[in-house]
Amino acid sequence: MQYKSQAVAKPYFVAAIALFVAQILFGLIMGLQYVWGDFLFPYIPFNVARMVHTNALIVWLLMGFMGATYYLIPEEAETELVSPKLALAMFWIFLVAAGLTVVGYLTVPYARLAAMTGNDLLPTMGREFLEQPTITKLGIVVVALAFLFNVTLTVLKGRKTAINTVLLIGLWGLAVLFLFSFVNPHNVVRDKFYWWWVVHLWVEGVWELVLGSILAFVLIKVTGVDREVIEKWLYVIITLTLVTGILGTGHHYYWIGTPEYWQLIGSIFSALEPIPFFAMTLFAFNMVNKRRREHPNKAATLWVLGTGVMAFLGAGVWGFLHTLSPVNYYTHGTQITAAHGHMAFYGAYVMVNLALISYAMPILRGRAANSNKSQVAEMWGFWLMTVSIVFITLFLTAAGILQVWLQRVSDNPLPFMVAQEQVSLFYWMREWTGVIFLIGLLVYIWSFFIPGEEKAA
Amino acid sequence: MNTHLLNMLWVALLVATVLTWLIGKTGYTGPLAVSAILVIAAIKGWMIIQDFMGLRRVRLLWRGIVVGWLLVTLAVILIAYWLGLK
Amino acid sequence: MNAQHRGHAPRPYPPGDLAIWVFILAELAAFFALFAAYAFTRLRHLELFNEMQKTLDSTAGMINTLLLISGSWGVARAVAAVKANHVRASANWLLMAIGSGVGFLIVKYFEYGAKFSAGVGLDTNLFYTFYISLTMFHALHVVLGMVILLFVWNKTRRGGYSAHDHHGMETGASYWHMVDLVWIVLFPLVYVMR
Repeated sequence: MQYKSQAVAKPYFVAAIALFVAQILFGLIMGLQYVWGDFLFPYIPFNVARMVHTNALIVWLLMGFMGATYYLIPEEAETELVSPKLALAMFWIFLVAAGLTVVGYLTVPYARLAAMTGNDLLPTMGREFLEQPTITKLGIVVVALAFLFNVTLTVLKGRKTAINTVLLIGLWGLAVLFLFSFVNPHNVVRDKFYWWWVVHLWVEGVWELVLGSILAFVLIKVTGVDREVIEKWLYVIITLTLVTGILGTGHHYYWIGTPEYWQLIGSIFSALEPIPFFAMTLFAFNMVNKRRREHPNKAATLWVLGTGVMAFLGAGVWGFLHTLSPVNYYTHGTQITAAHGHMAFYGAYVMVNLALISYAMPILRGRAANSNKSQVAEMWGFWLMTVSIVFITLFLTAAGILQVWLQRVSDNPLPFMVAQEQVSLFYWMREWTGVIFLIGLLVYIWSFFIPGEEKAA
Repeated sequence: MNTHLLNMLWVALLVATVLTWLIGKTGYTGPLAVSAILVIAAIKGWMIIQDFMGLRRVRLLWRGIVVGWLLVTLAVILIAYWLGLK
Repeated sequence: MNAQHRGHAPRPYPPGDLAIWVFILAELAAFFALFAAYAFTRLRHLELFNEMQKTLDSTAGMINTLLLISGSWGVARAVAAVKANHVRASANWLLMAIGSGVGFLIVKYFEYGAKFSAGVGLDTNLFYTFYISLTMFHALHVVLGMVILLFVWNKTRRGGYSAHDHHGMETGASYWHMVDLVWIVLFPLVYVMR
């Protein structure tokens, strides 16, 4: 690696992958609970497993982003990180806070957790994905600010490139928007209105800036294409993201009690949201096609191309399928939503993290790329996970279509649980596919431990 | 770009605008008036695209896309209007 | 007709940066969707739309159209001037264009002021929802266009552009023309045709 301080990325990557495993294990628990409701009850009820699954996902993706940032900022800014010690300290604080929170979810009834952690002083608990105790949330803010302070000062000290500028804008945006998790209006409509300022404006807004800048960084490294070309693409992509995604927030305002005009605004702008993802796919393939070098890390290139495709399919296409309000009227809150959510998160944010880790980890361990044997195993991991997710998505889509038909559209709509029983076959298929996904993840992890002749640059 | 041409186009665009406004002010409604308004809009758009934007000198593909946008948009508006006459 | 010295072969790319054209096309797509939505919603609420349209200030709309057209003219004259190396004239033309934008916003201020004080809002009725959101959305683009032109004007008066290189000016100019082009459709559609 070019700068010693890049080494602080490593613990972040390791923790990220460990939390990824935890996320999948709890996902499998829930998948089984869909068809065998009493599984692990009362020790790990469904709602607790769900909190662990979703929170672990977000925390590991954030750890991945932080690791990625610590890795790429010194190289882009051409200067050492301002404080590697602070970065390491924050790592431990974040990890411990996340760990304690999960322990809290698992061992303490939620209402008691709220009482124990002083939620009544500043209530922020009780909302999906934002279940963390207020003190954890405050901890996250502190960690985020320290992280931002560290990397921003580093960039200010050094070279300002489009990549590190876009990345910083995305990360600052991420932190500022997280503050809305502290906004808890009494009115349920406003409550939901602002909740989406965290969730939508994260994953369909500032996180895309992070995604784009990380992709751009890896592409410059593995293809050797001119920085100017790559940075131009990056600007186009983030412009399309913001232009479509900001008012696209309206596609979450169809049925929550906000005025009707959101059905129009949300439909129009969110329908355009696939465009930046399409541009990212074109971007990745184009740059690899025009490459000036044959980088020895083939696995990283595969991850980058895969990210483009899967993000477009999962976030773009599957998102489009249910984004128009006349369609969403029927599909809202069904397995269609779950289908989209899984492929979108995997395709965009899991894969870009794994792409960066794939590129950076060998370098952090002292070589340009891993051995052939190791890369082949990693690629097996890629295909197993990616194909699994595609099938999981297809099964959930089928379940969703059937659910919408049985529960909402047909002449004699069935009650929720009755409809669920009718789609249980798809849940079984999803669960088995989920096991394959876990196997893929384990193969991926194993690839880090395969020895062999390493590649020089 | 010939500044004389630009000036002429500017004046033509101003006149066309006043014309549109007049049609509205004098209370003319109905398919004939609307067609006239949309044709005027098409001509104004055409002038802006060709000579203000300068696409006249550019490959057909680009001109086609932008002029196509103008025509499709106005066509959709016309169709919606026409459907409302029934 | 064609006063270029570069011969008659068509240029492969439009004037200005290709990136801005990606943006321009995306904007045109968004406005198309909004116009189509307006046209077809009007279809289903004919009486309401015809009734409410009468309450709009079409004179303000016309003045705004004249202002934007003049702004486009100014921007086109600015590019022509810099191509002839008349850099100071070019900067002045840009300033004029920015001024037209200011005028547009002032007219809009009075137009909205009258409506809002009469109690009209986004959820008064469907027509006003469209009228306010469409024109405000467009106005935001006028503001963005003005900001871009301000940057271009500033660089021009510092001698940053020449007959040889005025790529950035053409980029900003192209965006401004798009804003004008969109209004060319919006004005007759919302204010006049019935």
